[in-house]
Amino acid sequence: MMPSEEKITHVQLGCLCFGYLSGFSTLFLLEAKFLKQDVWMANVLAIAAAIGVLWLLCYVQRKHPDMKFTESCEKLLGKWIAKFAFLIYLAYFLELGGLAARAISTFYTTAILPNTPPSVLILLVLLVTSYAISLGLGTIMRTLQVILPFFILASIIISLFIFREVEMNPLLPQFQNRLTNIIYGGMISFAFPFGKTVMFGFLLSRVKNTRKMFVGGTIGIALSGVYLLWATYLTFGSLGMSLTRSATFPFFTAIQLVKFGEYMERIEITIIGIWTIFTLFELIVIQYVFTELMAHLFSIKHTRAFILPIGLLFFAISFRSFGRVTDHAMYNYEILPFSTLIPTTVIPILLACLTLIRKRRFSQETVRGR
Amino acid sequence: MFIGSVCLFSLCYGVVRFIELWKKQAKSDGIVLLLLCGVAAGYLTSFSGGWPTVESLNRAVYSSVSHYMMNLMKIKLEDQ
Repeated sequence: MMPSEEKITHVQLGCLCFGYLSGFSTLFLLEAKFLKQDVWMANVLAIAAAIGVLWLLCYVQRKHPDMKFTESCEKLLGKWIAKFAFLIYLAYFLELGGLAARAISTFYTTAILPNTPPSVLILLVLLVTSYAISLGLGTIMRTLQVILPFFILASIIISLFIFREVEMNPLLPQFQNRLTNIIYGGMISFAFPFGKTVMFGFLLSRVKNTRKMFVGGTIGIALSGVYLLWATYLTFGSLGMSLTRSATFPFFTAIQLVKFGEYMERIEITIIGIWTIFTLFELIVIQYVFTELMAHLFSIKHTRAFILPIGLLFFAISFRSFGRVTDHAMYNYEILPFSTLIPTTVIPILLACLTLIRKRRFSQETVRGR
Repeated sequence: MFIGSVCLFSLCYGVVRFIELWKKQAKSDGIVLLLLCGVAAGYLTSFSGGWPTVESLNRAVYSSVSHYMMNLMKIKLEDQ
């Protein structure tokens, strides 16, 4: 068995939510490139949708307090439909894992290690995540709590230095896009990063205080949204619209402008470290939940033996997917907003509706019984 | 060479762990593990270029949905 049955607090859930969603959310800024100054509307829509999904998941968990999410699914959907839903989730996690691993390897090969093959970087990343999973959820949580203050401090310092470059409000003039564009931008933003919130459905049964889990998760999502919006604001302000749209990694390009006086440069190393660590956390959560779900689906008892092969599977899928940066970007623009709708939206809504129907039916039967 | 080594490692790991689990009477676990290692190794070999990935499956399934919806919403991504 994995050393994973430890409970976590709602504060730890919030931290994990923030770290997991923030990952490399500021790396490409796709919706910002699409909507320009109206991007905040799309982000707010996506944040609201993510909080809605979290509320549905918390509702299902509260109504089945002694069950894991997988068990609740089987109870509500029936054994075989639930198994089909789990397969959809496994495919979704592989997709997210492939995207995350490719994003980090692309970033490294473009920005700092141009002669290193992406496959080596992906393998190193997935070996680290596999090791982290073998240590269990409690260790992952404690590590995140140690790292988070450094992240916040580094982000604040770098933000202050970029803020000096912002001369006028880059988010003006407003309302330059049609409503459909803003909705589509919201879909892009929901597909990545905010829709990934659905992953926490599988971890909610581990939260000690079920009453506060929604608050903890919501704060995590909201802070992640604030971080993304602030990064977008600073990027637009320091680079301008056209350079932001042409840069592969706009926020990184903006950070490269930062200098301390005349002698201290290359501060972007700090942000590279932060991105790497948070992308690792993202991959750790994805791989962890994938392992748990697979163990449930195939009734696996010796889960520990599967950690490394699952890491290798993620490596193999990443190796065969999203080979070019343009493929990666176009996939995020065109396919991801639709391919993620079923696991991130349809299944949670279905589960919440079924929970509500069962609850009403149960209360009607109770009244008749009296 | 590098990918070949990872592929070989995956197969060896699968076989060793399979024998271990088989001896522990966890036969179904062993079979799933061996299959998983086989799939991972298979994806890494050169002949698996045509094997479906989540990316290729999603592209096949959702491309038409995406184009239809983008036409309906009059979304243009040419500038991106």
